[in-house]
Amino acid sequence: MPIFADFRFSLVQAAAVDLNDPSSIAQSKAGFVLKVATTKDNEIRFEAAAVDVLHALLVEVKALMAIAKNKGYLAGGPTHEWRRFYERMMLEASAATDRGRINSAASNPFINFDSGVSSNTLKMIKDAWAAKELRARELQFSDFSKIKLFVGTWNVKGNPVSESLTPWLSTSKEDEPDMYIIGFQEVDLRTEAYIIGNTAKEDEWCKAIETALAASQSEKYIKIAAKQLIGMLMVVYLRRPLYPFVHDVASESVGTGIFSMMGNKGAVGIRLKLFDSYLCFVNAHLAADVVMVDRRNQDYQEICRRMSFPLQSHYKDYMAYVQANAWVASSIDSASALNGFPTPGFHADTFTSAVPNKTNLSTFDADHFIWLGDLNYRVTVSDVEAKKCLSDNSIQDLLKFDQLRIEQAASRSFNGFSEGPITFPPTYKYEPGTSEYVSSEKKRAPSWCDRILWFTNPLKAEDPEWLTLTRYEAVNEMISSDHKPVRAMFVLKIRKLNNDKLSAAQDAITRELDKFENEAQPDLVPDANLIQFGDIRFMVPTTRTIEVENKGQVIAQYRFVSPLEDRICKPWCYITPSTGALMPGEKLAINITILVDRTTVTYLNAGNDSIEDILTLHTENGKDHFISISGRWLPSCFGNPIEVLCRLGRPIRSFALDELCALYTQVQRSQLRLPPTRASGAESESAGPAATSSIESPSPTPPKPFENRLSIPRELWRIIDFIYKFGMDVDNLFLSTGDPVLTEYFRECLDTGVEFDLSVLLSDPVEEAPEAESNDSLAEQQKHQQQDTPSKTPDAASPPDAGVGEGDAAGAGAEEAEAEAEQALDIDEVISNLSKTSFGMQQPETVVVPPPRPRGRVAAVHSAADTLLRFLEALPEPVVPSFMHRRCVLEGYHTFAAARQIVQAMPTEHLNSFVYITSFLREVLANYRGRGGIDEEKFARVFAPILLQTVSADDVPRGLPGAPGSVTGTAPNGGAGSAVGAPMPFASSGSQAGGGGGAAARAAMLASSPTPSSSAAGGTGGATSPPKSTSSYITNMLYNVVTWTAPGVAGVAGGGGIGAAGPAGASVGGALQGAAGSSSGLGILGASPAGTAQGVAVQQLRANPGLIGPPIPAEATSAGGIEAWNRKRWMFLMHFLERENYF
Amino acid sequence: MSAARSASPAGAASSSSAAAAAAAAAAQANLKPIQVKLVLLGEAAVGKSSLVLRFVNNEFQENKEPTIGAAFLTQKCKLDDKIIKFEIWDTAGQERFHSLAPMYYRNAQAAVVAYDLTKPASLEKAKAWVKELQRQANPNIVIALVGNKLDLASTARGVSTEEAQAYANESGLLFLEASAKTGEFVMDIFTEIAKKIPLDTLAAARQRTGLTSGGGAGGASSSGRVDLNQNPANSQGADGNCAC
Repeated sequence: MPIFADFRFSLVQAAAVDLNDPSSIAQSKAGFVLKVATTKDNEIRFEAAAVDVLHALLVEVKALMAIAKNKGYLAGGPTHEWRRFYERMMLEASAATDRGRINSAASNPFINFDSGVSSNTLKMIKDAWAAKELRARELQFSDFSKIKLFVGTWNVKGNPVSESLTPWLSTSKEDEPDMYIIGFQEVDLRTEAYIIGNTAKEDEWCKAIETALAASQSEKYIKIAAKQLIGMLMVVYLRRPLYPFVHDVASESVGTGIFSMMGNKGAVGIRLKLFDSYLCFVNAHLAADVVMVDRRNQDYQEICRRMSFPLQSHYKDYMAYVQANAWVASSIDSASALNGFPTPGFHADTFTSAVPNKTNLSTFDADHFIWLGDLNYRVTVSDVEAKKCLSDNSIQDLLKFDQLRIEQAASRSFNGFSEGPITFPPTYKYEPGTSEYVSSEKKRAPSWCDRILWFTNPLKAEDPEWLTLTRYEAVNEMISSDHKPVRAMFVLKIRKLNNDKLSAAQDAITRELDKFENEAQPDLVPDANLIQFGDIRFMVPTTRTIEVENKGQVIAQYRFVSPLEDRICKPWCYITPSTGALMPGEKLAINITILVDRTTVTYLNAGNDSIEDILTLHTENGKDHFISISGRWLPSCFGNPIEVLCRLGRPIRSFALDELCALYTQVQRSQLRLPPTRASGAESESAGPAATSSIESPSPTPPKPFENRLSIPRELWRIIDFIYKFGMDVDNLFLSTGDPVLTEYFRECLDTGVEFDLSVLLSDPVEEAPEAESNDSLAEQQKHQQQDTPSKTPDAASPPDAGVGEGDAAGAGAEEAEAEAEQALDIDEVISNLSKTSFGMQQPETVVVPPPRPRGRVAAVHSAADTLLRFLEALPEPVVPSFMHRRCVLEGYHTFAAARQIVQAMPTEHLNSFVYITSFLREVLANYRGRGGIDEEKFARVFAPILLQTVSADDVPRGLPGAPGSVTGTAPNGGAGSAVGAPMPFASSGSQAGGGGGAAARAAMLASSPTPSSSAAGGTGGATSPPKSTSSYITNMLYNVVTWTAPGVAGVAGGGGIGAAGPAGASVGGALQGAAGSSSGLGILGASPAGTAQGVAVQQLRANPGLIGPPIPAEATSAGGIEAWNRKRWMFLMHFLERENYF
Repeated sequence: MSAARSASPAGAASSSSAAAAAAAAAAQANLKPIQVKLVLLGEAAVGKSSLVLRFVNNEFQENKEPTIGAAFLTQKCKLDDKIIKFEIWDTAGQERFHSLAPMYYRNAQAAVVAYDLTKPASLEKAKAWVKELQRQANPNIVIALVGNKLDLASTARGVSTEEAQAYANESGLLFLEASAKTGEFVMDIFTEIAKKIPLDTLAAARQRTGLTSGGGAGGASSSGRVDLNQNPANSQGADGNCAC
């Protein structure tokens, strides 16, 4: 499509997006349609999976648009005539459809066309170039010699041979021709000649020719071709010694007479190759009568158009012939000479447009093309005037009225043809047997009907010796016809190819073409091959820019590639833009960013990866450049397993990478990632409460090494400790986001072991005197201490957290006692040295972390909270190890006892951390519940996805979404019909029914749905609008259900509560969740008697007012499954936040 | 309808030898070149790029800067009545780029492993490349061991012809000593390779599938490539369509 200055774009999403459906939003990424339109009916659509793919295209279009604007291109304007050329190309290219398309991707194009041009087209262009070069070098491999040619034409008026042809055909000795071309007209005027092929006339006339030649010429001649069409006959005689040098002889005829078909008028043609020149002769007999001049013109054009010779079989198509004979003028070359025919049926295009599919040769595909015959053009004066001219011997005056010359001058016929000077009298019409013009009744003016012309070779127009006419005359001695024969003698240049030299020239051209191809490669040059990134820290993006320049002549398209499948660089590296196109001379900055996030940090910390990579900048159809990138990884406490962190005796930054690496190996060896057996779980359950019951609030004690280990990661303690001391009262703790600068500061302090600069962190960002500020914050600090102290006092007396998880170890008591003493001491220390606790760490003196500008205590606390969450999130193994998640979700969420049992089976360090975190959260809740709306549920929602982080999708059981089959199965069993109006009995009976409880609860849910249609459609999960008015109430009530039925583990809680919850809750659940989610809950829990109520309740919890949206379609089962998983995850955590004393 | 006949005694002669020559000339102009992907490997500074430059442009540059990346050049070569189009990947020799080499020798039908005949260590590196190619490249790859800098042979030769030849023989490699500087025997490297490559198999495979081999390094799109030489016995049709 041509680009005009005026066109429009539109970008639309291919699929509609339901904003309430997250899965649909995700899908919608995959379908953008870019429309480019100039006019309504001329629109191009591009579809792309991602918007960034369209970027390169848009850049391109913009560039074109600018050009169009500059040049003032308009749709439909004359400035776009050029595109006809391409349209023809495209037509040809599309004919080669698939093959061409396949090739275009793999081949190395001469010029980097856009992908719309097939490689077939490119090959055409290259071949055409090679042919042009070959033609230009013709003299290098061609030798020329001259031959003498005799051309004669005679209309014999149907007469048999009655006189010798010697006067016509004989020449002087020195003029003796190498070749005779003799054309006759009206050799056979009998009617049956139209039907019966008959060579008698040919034989008769050839015999006469041979007799004449034998009699008059010293040379021996041999007939090499003859062609007859009724009255028209043409024969070619060649001097015997030349016979071996004639090839590819072909003859054809075209009838233009009656019905424009019959052979009473028309032409015969002979084409042959002499040495390496193609010669073509046409003997024509055009329409008669003085007034038929247009018809004659038309006959001429018809003959030009229809006279064609078959292509020799070793040429696959016409273009192959043209290129193999580049030095021979082709009809393409001649097309320009033929331009200007006024007749619509015959235009230069008739030749050229047919070219690509042509399988034959025209008369114009020749080095020499001579046209002879009775062309029947007359003079446009009366016979009296004509005869007067002739008697005055002023032939030139009469020639002014010659129709052929008039038509030629007007470009109506025989364009590009030349004729010798006419010095002979008109050749028609004579009284047969005499040399007198007829003075008959018809009053015909004597005319030059019989003519010999040649087509000026457009390639040799500059060569005066290419064709020279030596004689052009009529032979008046011949009297048997009413026409006089005409003869012309030519000296022609004939080519002989030197095959060795030709081959050398072809090789040279191939080399040149190769060189061009190589030079025409896009040449994209980056300004650097090595990029140093310096220090790389966790979550701190570092960007370097390289500039690439297109130093080549063509558009350079680039992309980054890699020997690794599916990715172009290491996962911590980002390249933008990673693909693109540059115009010649254009420069582009490519940003390379290194960002180590939680997905990549562990590999770097463990020494499995380093900040080293080699990027490969690949230019399409060009060279590749390697760009090495390197940086120094500064290890971070983020993204290390808890086990490793617990073994770090000093800040992680102070470790050399190989030390860390060794530590990782050690931890990995000692740690068996196997879930504890049930037996051990039970043990710990029984032993657990006794040993750990006193853990109820976070200890402000710095963790101590325990057998070279810390009980919890020091960093976890530090950050929680900060919040504990300075920010438990902050509104919306853990619900607001932190300040990125502060977060980074906290992270850096944790990594380096540098103390948090409290004077900065707790200062308000006001521009007042810093003293006042620090006073304020000090006062605040003290206030905190005072607040905190009472709640901590009991802690001091209680066993230390170091004992958590070791409770089942026999004889731990003594150690505990020791630890207790230590801890008591520590607390005092901490309180007295709030701002400069050293934790006994070896701290490199040189490490300095520049503190950020003060942003106030609240921001600092939120940032610390954020840092804590990110820290936990980055753990490669979440606090609750992933192998336990299934159990937590499937069993642990519904009763506290079950949840506790699971928790106690956690590995020591994990258990300690879990207890520490939950204790701290409980502490916050105990004191500040409701501050900005913090409560158990909110905390659980924030922390559950982090503490029980889903590391891989495999951890989410596929069974959870529930098979639709079970849904449809339970609904009829539950008896939807009978349940209507009787939800309560059903719910209670369901709980009694044990295993069948799931079905019953489900039935209750369906039955109590406020919309009748829902009960009918319930089986397939049909859902209607939720009862919004009651939802809030329901949620609250369900909370009660959950919280107070849960402890009643073994069905003690009974039907009352469940039943009460049933009707109200079920309506919400039924309406909202539909079939899928409910069946999953029920299916899993069906075995437990309490499961019924829980199953329902779980459903209903989704009815949280904030979550009410449009009904979720039944198809979204998998999304529902994940939601159920998430829900149960935080419900699990809730157990530990709600209880004052959970151990 | 035509009452004429073509009396052309010479027409019968048009299948004579002269006509055959014309046909051959025509064929050359229209012959589809057989594409051969060739990769150059070898230690840094042995003259890989110079060999290519000599072969392709018949030029020589003193003190060429090292290749950081992989240059791509094409050159057609005539062998008997066939045209071979070499698609040459000239790779970086520096050791740190070693890991990227498979991107270039994968799918290659030919490899030139170059060493510097004044530096015995470079032959050892060449041997390592040969081993890697024999282990990981296309099993039918034609490997030519080339000792470059023949112009220095008389003054600074460090590897004897016999030693290299013996190694080449035992490993089944083509072997030549050449000089990119003088151009001596450079063309021979490529014509020898062309002779040894099973061109008919390549051409036939291409005709069957309508595919061309090679293309850019484009490692990322390797799935779209078809390795014509991987299993010459098998039909290539299975992964017929190039999706690049």
